[in-house]
Amino acid sequence: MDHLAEKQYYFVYTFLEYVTFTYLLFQNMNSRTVARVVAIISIPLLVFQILYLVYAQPKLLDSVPIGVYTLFMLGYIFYYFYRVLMSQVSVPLYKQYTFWIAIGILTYLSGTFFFYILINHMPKSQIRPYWFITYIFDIIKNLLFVVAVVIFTRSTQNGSNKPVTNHKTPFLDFN
Amino acid sequence: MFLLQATQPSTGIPFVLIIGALGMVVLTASIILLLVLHQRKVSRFNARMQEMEKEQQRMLLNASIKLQEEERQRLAADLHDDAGPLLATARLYLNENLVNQDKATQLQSVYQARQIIDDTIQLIRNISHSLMPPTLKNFGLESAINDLFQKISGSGSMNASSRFHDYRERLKTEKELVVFRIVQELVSNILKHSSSSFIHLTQNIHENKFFLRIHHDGRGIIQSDFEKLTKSNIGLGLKNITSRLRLIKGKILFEKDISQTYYKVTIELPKDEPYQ
Repeated sequence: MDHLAEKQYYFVYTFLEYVTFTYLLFQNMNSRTVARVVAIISIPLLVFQILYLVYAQPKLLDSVPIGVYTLFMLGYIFYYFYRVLMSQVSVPLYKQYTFWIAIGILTYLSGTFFFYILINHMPKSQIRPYWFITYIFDIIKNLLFVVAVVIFTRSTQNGSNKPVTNHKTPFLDFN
Repeated sequence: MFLLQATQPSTGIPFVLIIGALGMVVLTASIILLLVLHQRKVSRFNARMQEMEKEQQRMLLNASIKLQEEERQRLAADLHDDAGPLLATARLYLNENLVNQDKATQLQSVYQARQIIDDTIQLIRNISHSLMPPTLKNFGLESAINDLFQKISGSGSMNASSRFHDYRERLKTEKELVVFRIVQELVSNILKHSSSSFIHLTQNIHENKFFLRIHHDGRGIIQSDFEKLTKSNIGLGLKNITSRLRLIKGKILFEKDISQTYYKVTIELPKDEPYQ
């Protein structure tokens, strides 16, 4: 694979990974606003990645877009956790498959963040011995995803709680 | 600074890499642990709330059973102490009739027995009316409440008035009875404890909900007092109101008027389909 093709491959891989993780995280949230905000954020990120691919000359990987995507993904995950904490759902966290997806993504991104950021500054001789770090976190992520899949297949759809709407009281005073 | 140094191709990079990855993993683990601990705390809190809810339901059930027993005792006492002796007396007069062959005495005793039986009929009618007011049964909630308020006003102790703004469609009979009992209980509490000079009831319909509001200018309670009383061992009448409201899926709100002059009690319940 020549250098340009390799860059294009990494470009597509990074973007697809971001899209897949974002979809997995938010697909169960049922919020149009969140979906719209994520879509609006993703467009400039994609533009930035294309510009980086065209103008920057990374040695091996597109470290900067990976770092930026990772930071945004971490932001999404923290938002997801915030929503989970604020929700009144009584189902324990470990019984929600999205929780396992979120910690899978979080563990993978956290574990590989420094490796991908520093990879272009490392001599090639040092990269190979440390590549195993990404494998370890990839395996952990996949195992956590398996747990999510098992929970998803076992879970049954329950009815949702309808929100109570407020209303004004009518005229009830004197005369 | 450490990171900047690490960006130079040197032997420090692997160290930064390992430390960074480990740091991130520790951070991730801490976040997950925090989340799990928080959720456990929330679950424990919810369980405690459920326990308290169950306890309150048990108290309401006890109150309702106690009230039912009291009502039965009152009925039994009324029948035993009033109707029983009256009927026994009427029987004595009729027995006398069998023994005494004198025409004038017989007429006298029959007349006496008839008087006593009339009294007994009136007594049983009163008992029956206290169980189900005839005005409520025949003419509905509006008439029954107006009747009740007129009686209070007629006693001269308090100025009582009621006004129904929109009651073209009657609630179901059983629902009307429950609402009437709640109003009776509230009015009785106001008469007993508030020392107010007036009591005014208004009714309206809004967004498919039925509203009743009672105003009075005496001593009253607000929502927090009501909740405290229903959770305590006293306040049997208030507990009974709560259990009745639960039965008809209603809500009650005790508050003080914005002018701080009056107390307001608002009852809200879902409106029925038109009365058939």
